[in-house]
Amino acid sequence: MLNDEDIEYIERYFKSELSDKELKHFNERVQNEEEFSAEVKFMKDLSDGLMLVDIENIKTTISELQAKEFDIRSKKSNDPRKNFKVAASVLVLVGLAYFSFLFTQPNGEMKLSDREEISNEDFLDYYAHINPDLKEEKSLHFNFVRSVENIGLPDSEKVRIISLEDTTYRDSYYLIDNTIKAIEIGSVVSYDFRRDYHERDNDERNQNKRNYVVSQKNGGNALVIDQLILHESGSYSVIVHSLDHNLMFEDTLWFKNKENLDRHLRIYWMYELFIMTEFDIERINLTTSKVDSVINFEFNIDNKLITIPVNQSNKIVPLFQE
Amino acid sequence: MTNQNHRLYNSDESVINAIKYGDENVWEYVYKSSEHQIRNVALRNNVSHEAADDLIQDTIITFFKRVMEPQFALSSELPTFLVGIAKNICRNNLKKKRELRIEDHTPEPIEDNFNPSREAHKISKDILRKSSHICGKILRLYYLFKMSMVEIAEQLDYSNANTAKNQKAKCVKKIREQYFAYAE
Repeated sequence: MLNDEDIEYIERYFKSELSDKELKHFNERVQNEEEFSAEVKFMKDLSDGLMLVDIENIKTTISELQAKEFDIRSKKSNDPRKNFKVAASVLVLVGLAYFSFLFTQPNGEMKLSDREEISNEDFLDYYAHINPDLKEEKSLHFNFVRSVENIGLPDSEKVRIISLEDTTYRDSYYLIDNTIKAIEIGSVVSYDFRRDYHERDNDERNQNKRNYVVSQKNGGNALVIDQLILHESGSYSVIVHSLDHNLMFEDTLWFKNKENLDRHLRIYWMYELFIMTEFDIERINLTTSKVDSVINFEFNIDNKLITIPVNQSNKIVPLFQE
Repeated sequence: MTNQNHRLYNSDESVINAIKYGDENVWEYVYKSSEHQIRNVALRNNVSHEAADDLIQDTIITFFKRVMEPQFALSSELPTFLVGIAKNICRNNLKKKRELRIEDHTPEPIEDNFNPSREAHKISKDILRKSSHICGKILRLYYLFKMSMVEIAEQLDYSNANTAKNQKAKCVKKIREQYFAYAE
């Protein structure tokens, strides 16, 4: 017959509180004592059962919300007056965005409502000449226009943002009202943006003695820029990465040339900023191989060595020279 | 749920606490706070509208499992965190689809070891649903969120940890009886 101490012992096991010695003893009892083993299974099933209840509740809530949204969408798409209203709103928004590009003023103000949220699949016929040289297109079609509150911009940029999503490339473009900048998801990072990271984190880097690492905290987010590479062709690439437990990315951002960075209408790379998270790097080693022109970035993170090979052609210019 | 309810969650911490303490309205808030961004992720990964619904659901359930981890802390703003999870799910799905064994420099995502037994389903569907509301609350906090009896007593307004402990023991005893009766 199990007593209270046995029960507590099993509960401590599930809380991972047993010492190595206790764990060994615990496993022996599971192997040899039927009643003890059955109680362990019971507690595991109880814990799983509790989790199942919560998961079922979450699924039900979300399914109901999605069903409700589906109904609303169906009704909207069947109402021509609403379509007209929404389409008109989109045209106004897109028009504002368009004029923001035509008459770029660094300190200009763009009147957008605080939170406009319009989405409708029926907008395919409407388009705007949003920065057409982005993709050498005269125009792009947008099917989704809305304002977003935070896409990972630095705190200093008190901006309202609207996003436009085009149907041709399935990309998103972010328009910022007070700086009048375009952000193309999956494109390149702006010079200013990078510099901002650079300046903000220089001190932090020194404090933490992290080599060649820039991180920028922004509402709990952090992005790491590892290297700025000047290529033979005159183009620049910046290697960035971020990770957090089961989230990680690394990417290379490209600039065609330096002038490209100073363009009046700057293009920003933002895609991965959505998942910027905070993390620590213990050490970064840089190794090069002349044979295959590959640079290996080795990161020692939590005692695990992660190697990232990066193709390159010429010079390596660390962002921060010691 | 009204906007007034949403205002109760004035920080990500309040959302996490609401999840822990079983606030039924919190999932609507979590859903609405990130739905558009997760749909964007789905769109960019060529995920259909219907599959995007599943992606949102999987993302939120994964998030819930993360919240249950003892050392869990939000390392970014809630929508950002959820979008990160959604991206990870998309990437893993894509890998599975392609069945490509490519050299990967990213750490393996946390494996989902949640594989409840037939008996766990029985507990969930029958036994727990029949047990009292207070039992559900106390067991949830103890077994899912690994809270101490002191914390549970504070949260559920018990006079002290011992009272809470006794209540928990009674609840477990009842469930145990039904569980083993079913198992036999």
